[in-house]
Amino acid sequence: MNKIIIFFVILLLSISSLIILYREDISAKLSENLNRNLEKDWGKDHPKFFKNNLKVDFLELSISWEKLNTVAPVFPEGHFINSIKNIDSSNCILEVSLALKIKLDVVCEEIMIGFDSYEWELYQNINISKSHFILFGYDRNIFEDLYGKQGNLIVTINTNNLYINNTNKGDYRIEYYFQDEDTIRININKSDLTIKRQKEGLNIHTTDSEYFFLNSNYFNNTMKL
Amino acid sequence: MLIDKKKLLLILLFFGCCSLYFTLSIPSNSISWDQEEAIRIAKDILQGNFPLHGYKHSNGMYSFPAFYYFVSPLVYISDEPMFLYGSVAFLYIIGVLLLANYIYKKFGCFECIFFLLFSATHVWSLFFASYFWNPNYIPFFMCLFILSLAKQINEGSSVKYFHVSGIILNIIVQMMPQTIILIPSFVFILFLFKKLPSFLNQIIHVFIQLILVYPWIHYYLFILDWENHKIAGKFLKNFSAIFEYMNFLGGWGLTSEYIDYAFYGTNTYPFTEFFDALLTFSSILLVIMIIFSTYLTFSKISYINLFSLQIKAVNGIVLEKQKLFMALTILNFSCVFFFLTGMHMTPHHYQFLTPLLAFNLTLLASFKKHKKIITPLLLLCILIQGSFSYWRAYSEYKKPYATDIGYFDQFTNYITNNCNTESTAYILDPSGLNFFQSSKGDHDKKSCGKLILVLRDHYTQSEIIRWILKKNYAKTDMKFKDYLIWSRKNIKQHE
Repeated sequence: MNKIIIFFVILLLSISSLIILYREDISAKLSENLNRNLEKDWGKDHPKFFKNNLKVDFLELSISWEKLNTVAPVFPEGHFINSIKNIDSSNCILEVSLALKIKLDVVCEEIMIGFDSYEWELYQNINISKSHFILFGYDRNIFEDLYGKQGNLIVTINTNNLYINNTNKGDYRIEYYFQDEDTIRININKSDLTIKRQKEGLNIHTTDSEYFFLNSNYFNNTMKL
Repeated sequence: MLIDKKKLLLILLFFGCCSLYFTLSIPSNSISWDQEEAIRIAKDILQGNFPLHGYKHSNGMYSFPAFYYFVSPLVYISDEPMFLYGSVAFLYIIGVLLLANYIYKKFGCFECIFFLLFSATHVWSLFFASYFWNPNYIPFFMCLFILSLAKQINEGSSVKYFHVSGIILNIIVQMMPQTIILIPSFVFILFLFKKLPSFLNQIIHVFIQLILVYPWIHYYLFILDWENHKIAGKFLKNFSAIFEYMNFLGGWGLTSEYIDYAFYGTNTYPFTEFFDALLTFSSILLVIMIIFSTYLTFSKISYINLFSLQIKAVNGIVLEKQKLFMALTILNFSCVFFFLTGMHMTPHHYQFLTPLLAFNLTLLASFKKHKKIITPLLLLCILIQGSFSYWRAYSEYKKPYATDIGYFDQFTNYITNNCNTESTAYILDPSGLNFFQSSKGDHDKKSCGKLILVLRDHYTQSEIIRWILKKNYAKTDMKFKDYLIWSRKNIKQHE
């Protein structure tokens, strides 16, 4: 029994020593891979990333960048994704905390989000979007994909300057996690918001209002069964 | 020879129950790409083009060809979906009755009744037996396999049955590759009961297996363009196999209207939570009984050495029955492989368990020592499963979709008889508004304009549906099954 414990201790120490010895090389390789993946053109349905000085630190379990600009893909007119023009962030650091649920802490000096304004139609207590819609199959896949990658994460984003359509809204703290495969819970400066995937589209529920983006085929009704 | 009246009565009762279920549920099934593709490939075979493989699975792998060769004579008789869907149900009934006949002869009336009751009520088994799909013939072949296995382990000369069992297993694996785990379990059972045939027979059998899957191997080795072949699946995916196993036992997955790998399940609104709780309870009871079976089986195996295991006979149980019980439990236990490897599983992957579970639990309930506890538990499960299955069948009959195989033509006739060619019908469901069909009615019929069909349940459930309808459409007096029919407001006003 003792021999087995000694074996595992030696093995652990050896691996740790190797990691410490080669930390620079491992971090450089991880940075190279991440940069390559972000630069790759994944197709017209995927967002594009423009970044500057993005680095991984393996020992610190962190990623830092000077600039990371995300440009949303362009879909048919009226598509919900089209309403988000860009998400730009500067001077950020992302730290990974290992716990029962992995926690990602992102701290940024500045985040800029640009999006179109929406037109709503009020029905009972629901604001239904008249200007933007969801693509039934495609957006369900985005949601599933996101759940597959972030289903077990809690993401926290802190920024000193949040710009929405070039207006500085000041200090913001945003936290989100998946409650289940259909629901994302978001907390923005202590206000709760829920995004729920439904058969009819996407439901956004805030403490005092409800918003709904419908599936496009509620309107584009020539789709054959 | 006199026909045993009790047996005849049991057969008729089982046949009657299943016929009721399938008569109500088969017309309410849909047809999708998998079924149409299977019919197309079977027609190809009838025209003399013999495929080496079937259609591509969602993971990018081509299916094995046995299924298409098996169904091609059926497609020759008729390619009507109702006939092909009915053939699955018919073979399910035949398979269960063949096995029930064996159980009646070997073990008696009590065991036979429980086996038939379980088979006539199990939620997923009945659901899968009601439509045409590659894995849905597996329960029939599994019944034949169990019959062959029973003869093999309990009769003197076993070589013939060894080959028969192996061939049946090959067909089952071709219909659902995940069932490959049955092969090592089968070998282990033969090893345990010292029924492995001679080495020569084993070698011969390996060749038989290779011949049966050779078309598929040939395609993959010599024809497939590997450079352009993409496999989407990966072996280790998640640990949902246990959850899905319990789902297969209890059937709670069928309480949702939209389910994976089947066009739709059941709209249980407003009883969803009630049925979920009920079926989960039956699932837990069944798992407890299965764990107990597994304990009973493995506690009766003694390890002598690596090449020899021995079974301990249980007092008061006929050895033949005990051996069969142990064999079935071991086959069931092979599902542990799915749990350990993290294979992605869904209920249809577990169809090989259909007659196996019924038989296994029936034998467990027949053991004198445990009869008092197991029998009422099993009866309770049967009652729960049966209540949902037959409620579901009736609900499907009352509230079918207009696109279902048994109602599409009925709706076409309905719209042709009531509306002229300028009329079109759309279906509004929670996913949106979809075009259904245009009327082929004569010009002397009235113009119905744009008709919107909404199931009453969807109307009640969805606020968005109510908003769309109230905003743009007016309710008409037209009715088709459980559909409310609406038309554009201006048309109504014009009328």
